[in-house]
Amino acid sequence: MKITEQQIQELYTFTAKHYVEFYDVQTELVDHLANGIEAQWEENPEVKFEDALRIEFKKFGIYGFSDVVEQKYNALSKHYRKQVYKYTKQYFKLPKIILTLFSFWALFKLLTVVENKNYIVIPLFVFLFVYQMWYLIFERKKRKKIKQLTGKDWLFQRITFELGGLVHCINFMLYVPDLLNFNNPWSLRYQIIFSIGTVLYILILYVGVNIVTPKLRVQAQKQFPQFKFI
Amino acid sequence: MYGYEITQKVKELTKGELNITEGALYPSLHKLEADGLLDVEMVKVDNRLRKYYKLTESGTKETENKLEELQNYLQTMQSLIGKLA
Repeated sequence: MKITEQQIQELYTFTAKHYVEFYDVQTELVDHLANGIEAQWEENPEVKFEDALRIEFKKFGIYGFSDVVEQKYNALSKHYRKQVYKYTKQYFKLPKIILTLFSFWALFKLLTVVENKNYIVIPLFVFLFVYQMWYLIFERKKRKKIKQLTGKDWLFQRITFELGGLVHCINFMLYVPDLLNFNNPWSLRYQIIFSIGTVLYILILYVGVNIVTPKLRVQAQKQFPQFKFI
Repeated sequence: MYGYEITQKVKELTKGELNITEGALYPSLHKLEADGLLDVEMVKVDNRLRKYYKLTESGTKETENKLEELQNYLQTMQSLIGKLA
């Protein structure tokens, strides 16, 4: 006996009710439950769908699907950050390292030339803040559009929205004024740390937004060609 | 192979000695996939989508390394226990 189309939809509803909100995670669980139920029917065709489902769900343990969702979220976030690290590393190899070192030097030189650091620091912070806000708004719109088109929520979308957890860097920016005392003259050490830190920050953001996020979207598109993410 | 198939295959090949629980299987698969050790493909089977996993090249190498590590560990333990006994 085989699971019907309607029962498949019931399984999707069941996973959603058990806190699996993302379609890309639900799909695998639905297939697993369906296989388990069909295997039960092979042994005993009299078993009701609901009873068979209860037995299959119990096999996931007391935490149900929550471990699966949490671990998948963690694994994908880690994957995102690893990819960012991988592509950022390329900016420390020839020929890109020339550009990286030049950026460090240019920012450092600017800081040494301009007496009032606010002329550099404030525009830089405004630029970074606007850039990140633009990305978050863009991703939010994209997420909404994809949800409208597909009628589903996707885990990979949440990961790209959060830049694999790197989005929390925005919070870090709030502490920078405390870390660097802007009111006093900057020591050489401060200027070097600020130059390297800022360039690294911009690099990581650039790699996440322009390289890793599109790559993850392509990967998702490859897995679910029936939907349109790009 | 897909998730359910893996649980059944392991049970069958180990004659029930090893039982992979569903709650442990999928987090492991997702971690290996994120680490690039597994490649995935979604295939429509009957009236639903099925996710197939297969080892990537680095996944195959990693499997060999882990098995070798395990064998070395077992050998060390056996020789240690042999000497202590």
